[in-house]
Amino acid sequence: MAIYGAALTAEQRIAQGPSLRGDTKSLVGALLLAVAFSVNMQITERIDQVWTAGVAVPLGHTFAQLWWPTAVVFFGLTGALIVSNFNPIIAVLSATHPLAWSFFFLNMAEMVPLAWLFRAHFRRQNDISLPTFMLYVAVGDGLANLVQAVGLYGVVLKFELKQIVVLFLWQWGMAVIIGSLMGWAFYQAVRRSGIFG
Amino acid sequence: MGVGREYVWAIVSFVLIAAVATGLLYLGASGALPKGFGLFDMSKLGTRLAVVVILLGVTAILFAWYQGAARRATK
Repeated sequence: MAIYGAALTAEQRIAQGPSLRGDTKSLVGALLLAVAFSVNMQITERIDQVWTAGVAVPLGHTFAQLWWPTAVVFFGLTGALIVSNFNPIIAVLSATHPLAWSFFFLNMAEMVPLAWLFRAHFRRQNDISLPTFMLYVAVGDGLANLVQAVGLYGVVLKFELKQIVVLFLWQWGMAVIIGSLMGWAFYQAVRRSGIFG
Repeated sequence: MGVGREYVWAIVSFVLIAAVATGLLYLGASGALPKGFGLFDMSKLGTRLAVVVILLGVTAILFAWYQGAARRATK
């Protein structure tokens, strides 16, 4: 492979290492992104609530893509577990939503597979293009949307198939078109700064 | 094969997580799970604002901590 004989990028070094890292730098870095993501969600959750009467979370899906890809690229599975589980703790502590317990797993439904996808990518490539980045985001958010569509809209709320499809496409479309571009810009900025390298 | 294994893990982990998520959604909707701890009411804007301010403070502390940890790791 092309990576031999050339200096490894930070992403490659991380992908070659253990998938679940427990060093202080990884734990604190992941927690930093988790808290920043949670600050973001405090605002978007409120707007989503007003906008959709709590039925959908289009901004939640969109802005999650700002933080999640960077978290899993630089902190792997450790980043996936910490970032996906921090914000639901606030939801459970505050008891503002009857379905708060499921938020842990709804977040992980995207972040854990996303961590494996980026890990697989950087184990054989030293760089990533925007279309590939968007493809991974599309797959990851598609998985979270699938759980939401089946579990929440199908099993719990018993929506009609047409309604489920519309909600799925709305959230997924915003996450892929807007969210992945924001996530790409953030990832590139973080990469250039070398802060998580 | 290392690369193939990552994709298998992605699929397996998703199936397991999705199953638990769907189960929790069903239990939550049927009222079998407690609503939460009720320590604060996030539907009040003032409470939400206070949480944001606290989290921003925590972010600043974690950023400083991360920089220190990163410096130590590179030494």
